[in-house]
Amino acid sequence: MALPLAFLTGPELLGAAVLFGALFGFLLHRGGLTDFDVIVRLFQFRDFTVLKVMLPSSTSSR
Amino acid sequence: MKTPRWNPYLVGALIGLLSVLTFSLANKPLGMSTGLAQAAGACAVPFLGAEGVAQNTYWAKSAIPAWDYSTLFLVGTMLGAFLSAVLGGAFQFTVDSSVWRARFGTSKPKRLIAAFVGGFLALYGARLADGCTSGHGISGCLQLAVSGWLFFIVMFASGILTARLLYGRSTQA
Repeated sequence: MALPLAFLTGPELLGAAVLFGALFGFLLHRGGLTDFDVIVRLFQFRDFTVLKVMLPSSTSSR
Repeated sequence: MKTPRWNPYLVGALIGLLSVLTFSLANKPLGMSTGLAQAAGACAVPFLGAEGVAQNTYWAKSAIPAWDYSTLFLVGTMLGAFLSAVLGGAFQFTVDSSVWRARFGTSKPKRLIAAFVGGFLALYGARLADGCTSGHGISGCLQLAVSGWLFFIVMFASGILTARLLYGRSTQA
């Protein structure tokens, strides 16, 4: 059963898009996920910042 | 100059909560690559015309260029990251990376070309998979979508392999 969850429409939805995007971008930057070195070092098993951010984000949302 | 970082676990928890907000208020997942595909469509408008882009099978399906939610979300992410850098006193124009420099030297053109090729491959793959690290990796995984976890595992495996091929075992930077 799909509940109608989209409360925002029209200009409000577009404003929310900028706001949500800004929050997301701010958080990604503060978390260090916009840093090239952090990403490469993840795949070299030398920096696990990305996992530290992604795992809680998958659990805090339920 | 290092960005003032927040605790990664806190940032992760906040991204999860933000995702709840976007799903419940706007019925949208956190995702970036649709906006990028639309931007690519906008770049093609001068060559194909708006009609040509709208009739293209790929763009017509999900990414007709428009100032809609996906595009504005993408603009928002850039504003937010910019704001974070400026407020943290970390904003600067640079192409430098210590990992890259240790392996490939300081040539700017070399780094920019590699970034372009890498970005091309990443976005091509993201659109083939119908989602990127945000769309599948975060929004997919937190919904426990099989596609999200599969994407994450394969992306991780190919990332490890690519890092090994490009940087070898010994690069320490």
